[in-house]
Amino acid sequence: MTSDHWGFVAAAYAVAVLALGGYWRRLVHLERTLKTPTLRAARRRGAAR
Amino acid sequence: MTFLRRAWAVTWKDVLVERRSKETVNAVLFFSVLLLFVFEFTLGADRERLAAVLPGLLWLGVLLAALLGLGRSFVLERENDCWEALLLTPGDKSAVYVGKLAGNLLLMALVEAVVLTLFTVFMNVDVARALPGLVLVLALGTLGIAAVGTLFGAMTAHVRARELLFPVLLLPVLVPVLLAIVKSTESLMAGEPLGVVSHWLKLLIAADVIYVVAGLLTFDVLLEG
Amino acid sequence: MSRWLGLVATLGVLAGLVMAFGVAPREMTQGNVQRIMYVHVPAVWVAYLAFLAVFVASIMYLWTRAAGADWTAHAAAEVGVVFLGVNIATGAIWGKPTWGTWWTWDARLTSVAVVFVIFVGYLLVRQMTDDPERGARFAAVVGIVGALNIPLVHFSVYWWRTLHQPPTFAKPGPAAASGAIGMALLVNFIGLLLLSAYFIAKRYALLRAQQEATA
Repeated sequence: MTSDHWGFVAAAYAVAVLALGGYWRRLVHLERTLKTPTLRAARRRGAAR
Repeated sequence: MTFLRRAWAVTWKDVLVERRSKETVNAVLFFSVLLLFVFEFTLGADRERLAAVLPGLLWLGVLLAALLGLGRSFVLERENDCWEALLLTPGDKSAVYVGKLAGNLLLMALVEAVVLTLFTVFMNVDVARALPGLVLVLALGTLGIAAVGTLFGAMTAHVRARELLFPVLLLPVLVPVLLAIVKSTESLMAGEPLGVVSHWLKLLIAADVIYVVAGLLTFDVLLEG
Repeated sequence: MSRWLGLVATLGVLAGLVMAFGVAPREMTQGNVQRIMYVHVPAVWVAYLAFLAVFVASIMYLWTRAAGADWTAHAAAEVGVVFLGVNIATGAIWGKPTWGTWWTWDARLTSVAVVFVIFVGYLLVRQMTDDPERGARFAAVVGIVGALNIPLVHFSVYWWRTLHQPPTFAKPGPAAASGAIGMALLVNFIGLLLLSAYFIAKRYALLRAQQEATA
C-alpha cells in the first residue's frame, strides 16, 4: 500500500492557512491603521498605500 | 493630417534622431556581438549541444537586444521634456502608437538581421533552406514583441525603476510568443516544412492581433497627464 | 454586510475541510496525499475567476473612470495572486512525494506560474507609479493585456509540452471523479470562493476608506 505522506498533507494545508490567514491579518491591520485618527496613523496611511 | 501621415511623422522623427545619435542602434548591435561571445564561451565546447539549443539562443539574443531597444523607445521624449509634445498631437493618439511601433519594428529587424548573420558566420549555422519560413516566423514574432514592447515602454517611461519593471512586465506576457517562435524556428531549422508549425503560426497571428488591437485602443490612456 | 460574508465563508471553508478529510475516500493509487487536491484545485479556479474580475473591472475603469472599478480590479488582483500562490505552493508540496520533485515544467504548473508572474507585475506597476491615478490607468492596461494573454499562455505551454514529446511524468491530476470526490471539490470550491469574495469586499472597502481619508 502506498505511503500516505500525512506530513506533506499537513504542510500543504498549513501553507494555505498561513497564506490566507496572513492576507486576512494584513487586511485587519490596514483597517486598524485607517480607523485610528491620529497624526501617526495619517503618516502610516501614506506609507501603507 | 491623416492618421498614417501622423504615424509616419513619428516614425521618421525617431529614425532621424537615431541616425544622428546612433545611440540605441550602436548599443544594441554591440550587445548582440557580446552575446555571441557569451554563448560561445558558455556553451561552445560541446558542438552538438550548441546545435541543439541554437534556435533558443538565436531568439534569446533577439529578445535581450529588444529589451534594451524597446525599453528606451520613450525615454528620449521623457528625458528631453518632449512628453507634452506627444500629448498635444492632434487627433487620435494611437497614430503615435503606430508610429512608435513602426520605428521599433525597424530597429528589431535590424537587430535580427545582424544576429542571424553573426550566428550564420560564427556558429556555422545553415539557415538557407529554412529562410523563407524563418522570415515569416521572424516577422510574426517581431510584431508581437514590438506591439507589447511599445505599449509597455510608454508606460514604464514614467515609472520608478523603469529598467526593472519593463522586462518584468514584458517577459511573462511574451511567453506564448517566445514559445511559438522558438519551437517554429527549431522545426524549420531541422528541415521540416512550414505546415508542421501551422498551429504555432496561428497562435502568433492571434497574439499579434490581440496585442496590436489592445495597443491601438489603450495607448492614449497611457499618454494622458 | 461583509461580516456576514466572512461568517458564511468560514462555514464554507470548514465544510470543505470536513468533506476533504471526512467524506472523501482514500484515493486508490496515491493514498491520502491526494487530499491536497481539495485545496490545490479550487484555489486555482478561484484565482482565475478573480483575474476575470480584474479584466472586466479594468475595462470598466478605462471606460467610465469610476473609482469603484479601479478598487475592484486592485482588490481582485491581490486576492487572485494570493490564491494562485496557494495553488502553486500546494502543488509543489503535492508534487514532492508523488513525482519525487518539487517542480516540473509540465504544462499546468508552467502556465500557472506565468500567469502568477503577470499579475504580480500588475501589482508592481501600481506600487511603482508615483501618481495613484496614473497607476490605476497603467494597471488597467496591464490587467487587460494580462488577462487576454491567459488563454494564449495555456495553449502555447500545452503545445510546448505535449507535441512531439511524450509526457515525462504522470500528472497527479484529479482522480477518476467518483461522487464523493466531485462533491468534496465542489464544496471546497464554494468555500474558497466565498472566502475570496469576503477578502475582495474587505479590500475594496479599505481602498475606498483610504481614498476618502486622503481626499
